[in-house]
Amino acid sequence: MTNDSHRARWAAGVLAAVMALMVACTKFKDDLLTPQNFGAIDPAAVQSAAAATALRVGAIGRLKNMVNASGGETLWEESGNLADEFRNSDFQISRADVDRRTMTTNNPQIPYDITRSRGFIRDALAAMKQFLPNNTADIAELYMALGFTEMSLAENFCNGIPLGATIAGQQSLGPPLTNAQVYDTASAHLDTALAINTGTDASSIVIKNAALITKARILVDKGQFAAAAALVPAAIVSSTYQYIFVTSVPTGDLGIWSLNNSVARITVSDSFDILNGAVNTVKNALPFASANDPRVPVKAGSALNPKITAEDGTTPMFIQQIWPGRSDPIPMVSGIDARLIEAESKLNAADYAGMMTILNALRAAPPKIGNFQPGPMSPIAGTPATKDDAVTLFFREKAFWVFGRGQRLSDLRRLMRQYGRTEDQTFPTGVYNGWGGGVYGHDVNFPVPDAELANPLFKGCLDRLP
Amino acid sequence: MKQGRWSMFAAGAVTLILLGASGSLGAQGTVTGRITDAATTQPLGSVQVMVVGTNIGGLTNDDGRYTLRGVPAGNQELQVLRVGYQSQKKRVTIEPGSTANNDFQLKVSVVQLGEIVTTATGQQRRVELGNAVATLGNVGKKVEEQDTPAFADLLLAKTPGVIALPATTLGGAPTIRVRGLSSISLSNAPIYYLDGVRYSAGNSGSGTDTPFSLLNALNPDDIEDVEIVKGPSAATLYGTNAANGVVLITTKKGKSGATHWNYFGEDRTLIDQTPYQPMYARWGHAPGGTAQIRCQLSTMTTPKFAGNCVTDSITSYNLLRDPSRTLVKWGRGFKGGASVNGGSDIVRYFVSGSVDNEYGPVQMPDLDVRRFNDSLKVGVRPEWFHPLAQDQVNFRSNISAALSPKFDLSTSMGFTKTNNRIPPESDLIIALWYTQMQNYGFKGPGLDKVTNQVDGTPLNDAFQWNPGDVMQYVNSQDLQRFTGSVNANWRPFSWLQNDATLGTDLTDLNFFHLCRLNECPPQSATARVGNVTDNRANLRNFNFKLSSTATWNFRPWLNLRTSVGADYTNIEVDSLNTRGQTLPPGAVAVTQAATKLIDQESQPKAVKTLGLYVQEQAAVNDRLFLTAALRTDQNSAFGTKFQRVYYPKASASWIASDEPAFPKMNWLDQLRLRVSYGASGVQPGPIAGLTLFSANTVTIATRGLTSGTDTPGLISSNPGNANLKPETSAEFESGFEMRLFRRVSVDYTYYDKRTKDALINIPLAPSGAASVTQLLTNIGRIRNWGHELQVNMQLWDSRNFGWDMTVGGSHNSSLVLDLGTDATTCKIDASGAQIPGSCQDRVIGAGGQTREVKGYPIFSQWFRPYTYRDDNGDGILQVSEVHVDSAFKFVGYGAPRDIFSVQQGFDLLNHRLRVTLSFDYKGGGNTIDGANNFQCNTTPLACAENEIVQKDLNLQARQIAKSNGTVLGGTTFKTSRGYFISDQFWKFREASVIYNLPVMLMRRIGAGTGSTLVFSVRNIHTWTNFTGIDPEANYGVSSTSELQNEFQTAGIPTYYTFRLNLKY
Repeated sequence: MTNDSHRARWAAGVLAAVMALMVACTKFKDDLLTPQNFGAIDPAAVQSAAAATALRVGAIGRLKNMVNASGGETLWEESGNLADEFRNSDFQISRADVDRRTMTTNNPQIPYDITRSRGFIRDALAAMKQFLPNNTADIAELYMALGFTEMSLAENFCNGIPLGATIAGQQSLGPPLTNAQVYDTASAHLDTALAINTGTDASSIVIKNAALITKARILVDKGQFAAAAALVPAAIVSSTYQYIFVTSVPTGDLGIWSLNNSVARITVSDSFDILNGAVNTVKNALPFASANDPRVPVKAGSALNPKITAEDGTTPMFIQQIWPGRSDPIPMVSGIDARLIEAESKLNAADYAGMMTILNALRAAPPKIGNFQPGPMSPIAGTPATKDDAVTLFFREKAFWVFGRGQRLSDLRRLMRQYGRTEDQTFPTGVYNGWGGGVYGHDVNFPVPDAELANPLFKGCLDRLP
Repeated sequence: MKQGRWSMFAAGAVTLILLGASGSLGAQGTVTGRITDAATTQPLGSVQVMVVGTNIGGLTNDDGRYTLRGVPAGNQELQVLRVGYQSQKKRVTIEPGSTANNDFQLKVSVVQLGEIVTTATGQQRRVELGNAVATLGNVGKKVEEQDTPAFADLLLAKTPGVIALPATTLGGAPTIRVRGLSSISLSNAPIYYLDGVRYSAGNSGSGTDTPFSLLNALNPDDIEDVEIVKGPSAATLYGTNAANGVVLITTKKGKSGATHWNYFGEDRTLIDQTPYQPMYARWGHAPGGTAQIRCQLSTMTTPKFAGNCVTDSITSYNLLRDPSRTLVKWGRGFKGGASVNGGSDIVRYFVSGSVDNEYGPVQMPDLDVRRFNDSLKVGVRPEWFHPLAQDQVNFRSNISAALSPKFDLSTSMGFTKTNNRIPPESDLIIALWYTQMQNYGFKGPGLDKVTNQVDGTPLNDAFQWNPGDVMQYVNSQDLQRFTGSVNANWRPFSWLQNDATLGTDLTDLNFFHLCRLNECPPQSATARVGNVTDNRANLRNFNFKLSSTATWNFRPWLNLRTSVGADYTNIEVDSLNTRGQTLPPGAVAVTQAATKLIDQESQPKAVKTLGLYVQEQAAVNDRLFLTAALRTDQNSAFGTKFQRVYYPKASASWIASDEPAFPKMNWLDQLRLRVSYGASGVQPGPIAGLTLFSANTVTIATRGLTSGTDTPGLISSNPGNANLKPETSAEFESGFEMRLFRRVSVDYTYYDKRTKDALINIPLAPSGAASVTQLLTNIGRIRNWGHELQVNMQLWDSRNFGWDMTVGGSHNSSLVLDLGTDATTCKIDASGAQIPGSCQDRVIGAGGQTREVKGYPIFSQWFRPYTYRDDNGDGILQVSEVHVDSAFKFVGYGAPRDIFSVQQGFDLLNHRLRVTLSFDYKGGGNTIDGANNFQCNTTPLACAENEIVQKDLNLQARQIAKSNGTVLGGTTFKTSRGYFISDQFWKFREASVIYNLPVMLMRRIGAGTGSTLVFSVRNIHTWTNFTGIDPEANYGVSSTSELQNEFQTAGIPTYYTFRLNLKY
């Protein structure tokens, strides 16, 4: 046998064997490369009524991020920091810049992430409409959540907020809108919520009231005080009504508790601080920490056991006691809000006595704030003689009622926008005695951050007006 | 159709084998011989002996003898190669059935590099490759002669084109980058193979910003050689994920001959020489007053002091350098081990074991030790006393057997058990160094000074948290790792060699954090109620490789070599992260906690890759080598939509000086020219392309009540991208190698790598309300090019004195060629049609510091520039004298891109004493001075720049630009530009004194020649203008982030090591 024939036989045998092996092994090859993603939830798994419910729950969970961020900053806390509810007690310049009202547009503390909640809500809405179209209260709750989110954007951010959408994975971006335009969009979603939520059961009523109060807030934001008050009379929305955000240890801590009571990154603010051993008045700041107001109970960190000191090690700590527990419920909207909307309507109708009646009624029989029951307060004596006095009184009263619930910044903006106050008469001004020192800047709202520059239609805030 | 393509490929591959495998099956003979040192006549072991143009080869034993069986009859050419000797060729005639004897005497040539390198198709002569391959060579000897605490230290400043930043802390992650950066959103790290098995080299969480590295499980003492396949032109046959280079690690193998025992022990002392800066306090009084107050520069952010303070004195305090207070103490380490190797021509073995225990230069301050022991009576636990530590045990067993003259089987098995501890550091609020870096600028009580922790614990001049309490915060990781492989080599014919390797890399990780009840700083309301974290992860790599290589002497002047191969890699990970809170006394487990949480659970997820390749090589007169190859890959990373990717390769290597027509020059020993082109890829994670939802539990309030129920919910977590495909890099490389005067070798390479389909995380506008903030998309093209040069020199070589030097350097540049256009920027005409050319280029990271912009380097750095002018000339800048621009400008690269090194060796006392010195340079990039950026902008009361260097306007300006900025149009613009500074430095990296112990002395203790006593120092001194802790600190660098950082951390310590190597 020659070498060549030896080689030819060997080659033919190997070729036949390998060909057979390869053909037979195609399935084996596919097995080798089959994606192994056990535990990943794909779109096929969300095509059911149960999945629609789960998406609704997930969307409401994201909505709560404006007050619950498991230790991180939240919209309500940051807006209170920019206003006069909280003072930064952390050593990060970016956080101090919010407090000092000197934010740059790339400040990482700008709570713009809430805009993404709109996407989760839309996902849930699509699923609910497809699989549970008769659950009108649930669908209405999602529309209410959408409207509330958009209202929160307009109340806290500058003019120039784009409202885009991502539907079926496709992103469509919009141009920057004025606050008024965003209010209109939010209002339309609330109208939808009210229109489809025709149930009369207790659950539907809870959602309906939340939508009513939110819409009334938008009307107040737009200066339509009487129309706002007409939406939420006591006959419809009782003073004890609450739409609650609540957490548990596994699902995350209440943001205000975490940042103030736990890690001491913010402290309840006051109208004065100590500068070089002397009292330094913080112009325009309300004395939340020192007022001893039953609606905003506060304890000094040094008086607690164990003591709580500021994360920066130096800022005096004042710890709020409205929500002393990590999982305490906090109202997103409440009957208190409804009464205050009515009172402000009276104020703008120059019915100062009517305003005082409402305010004193609340003081006489304070509704609960979450689970916190403020003690009754004596009525405010007298009636303001001028609108200016009435405005000052009203907004001070409201500030203590809605402390920590994301309304104060919007109210300060409205004081400038609707009541003619100047920035120097409204926001904390002058020497900043917090971490890093300096003087207060002129921010009266949050800028839409640079991240939005990925939207080519956005070039920055249209303006930073209140 | 898919099945059809697969079959066609297979048929083609087999046909190629057979076409190439048409060599002779005729009569065979045997070649034996002995190889000795020409000068000393001593036998040389481990010499590669090969029959040129065949797969036949082998190693000499200790006695220098070799035997090659099955050598085809006829005229054959033998070549012998050994590191440190000039290779030789010899023509022999093989008679059928007979044995030919051929001895060689090799001459020393210190400038030669490793002549045999490992390739995807097996071992090959370096000269056959058209691409550069860096070989560390004889790593075992280097480890014996220079302290090498971690694997990455082997790569430091040794190889042009390889930028290695060492781990900054014990157990921490090094950064290894080969030929720069080319991937924006995926890893730029090379992949690793250990004895042919894919080796996981990623990072694992440590509870701080400094991750632990899986690379640290490699025991340098077990390594024989490390080769770095630098780019796609060389790594084509390694396929997908090899675009960033491949690091091939070969462990020591047994050698036939007498049994050799090696023992070693080394003792290390670690000293932290970080130039920690003191903090300052400026004391004074108000004009007209007498009460003492703290002053500050009038401009420095706190106008409460402006103009109101008359300076009386300045105090300073460097707590970290106060022996009575500091946590910085000497660290110590001990490593000991033994290995045995030997065997016969039939069976060879290498078995080793070692123990390596080390604690870093961090120790609980004495005052806290006394507080715990004497006052609190709780006893200081070892993990508190030395919170930075690593204990490691290694075992290895490598066995090779020649089961028949045609069949070899070898196994490689290694096991490592490592325990790492690291204290809280970097940006954690209770970071250990933070407590002492930050202080009040004076010792003892004083104005405004907080002297006790919130719970009354004395701070002992530390800031905010007591360091002893911080050291109770235990972060540890247990790693157990087994790597094993079986390799079979079957040579049925003299012209055909088949290899199969089956291997696995199994890693079990357990990260554990514990603060028992009433332990740790009271940083939050729940900090001292007892907290435990128990995270488990398993990494499983499975590898299978087949290759077959046939050779054919087609003509006397032409040898063909055909290779086909396949490899399969399955990389699987699963994890479970749990946490417990509120522990009873004595409890340490999640199950003992009142609150038990599962933070994250990941079921096993895998990335699977199946690759096939074919390669044809031609050797013309054994001096021109041509290679063409093609690899095709499929992998599971793109979901169910399998995509096949093709990676071509071609190269040429020409030993021009061997051509008869080449002019003979006395000074030129050899000139080799080479050119190569090849492609490879990088793939994303296993689920990157999929549309996914994530489950999250939400507490939903019961409507009308103030309580709620934890309810499972879903949200969209990834919109997915069904069109994802691997990022592909194609590289052109050329270069030359010269050997001059028999004393100098020069190796130059130019490379140009183009990456297309670059996978980039495209930021999504938040207002679009997508479920993610960015989406991975194939959109970019990136260029990465550079030069590499290495020169080896034997400057002097005599009986009493020798001087050798290696100088190397490289320069890398990168450029974003294209990121596509942003469709949403396109202008529309009246008819609604897009206006051609109206679309703008896409910019990634617009508005941020790190951007990807067409025409600029990858990871380009952008800052708002600032200017300053001391108008009143008082040496103190006012806020108004500093101007920050509103627009960002390109500043430079964010990572080093230039390296240069000088390594020298001196042989003294008749070569009995050797001294080695190594210096290296890195530069070309920038890094943030994190220490000052933080300290001077967050604690302005005590910042050094405020208080002591006030006359330096540059330093004043950078702080004002960062803290105060400029108000333009109602908006405040600030910048950290002044803290982003050049990272260039020179480092005296290594020094070593190696003393060959006297033979007489060794005989007395039964030891043999080669026993040495070594004293070495590592990280000796740094020359730099960098103002921070250490320009080489690489905190923050991760698999995809390329920006170095330093933040409230220590620099790299200096190691002083004594090592004794005894050989029997």
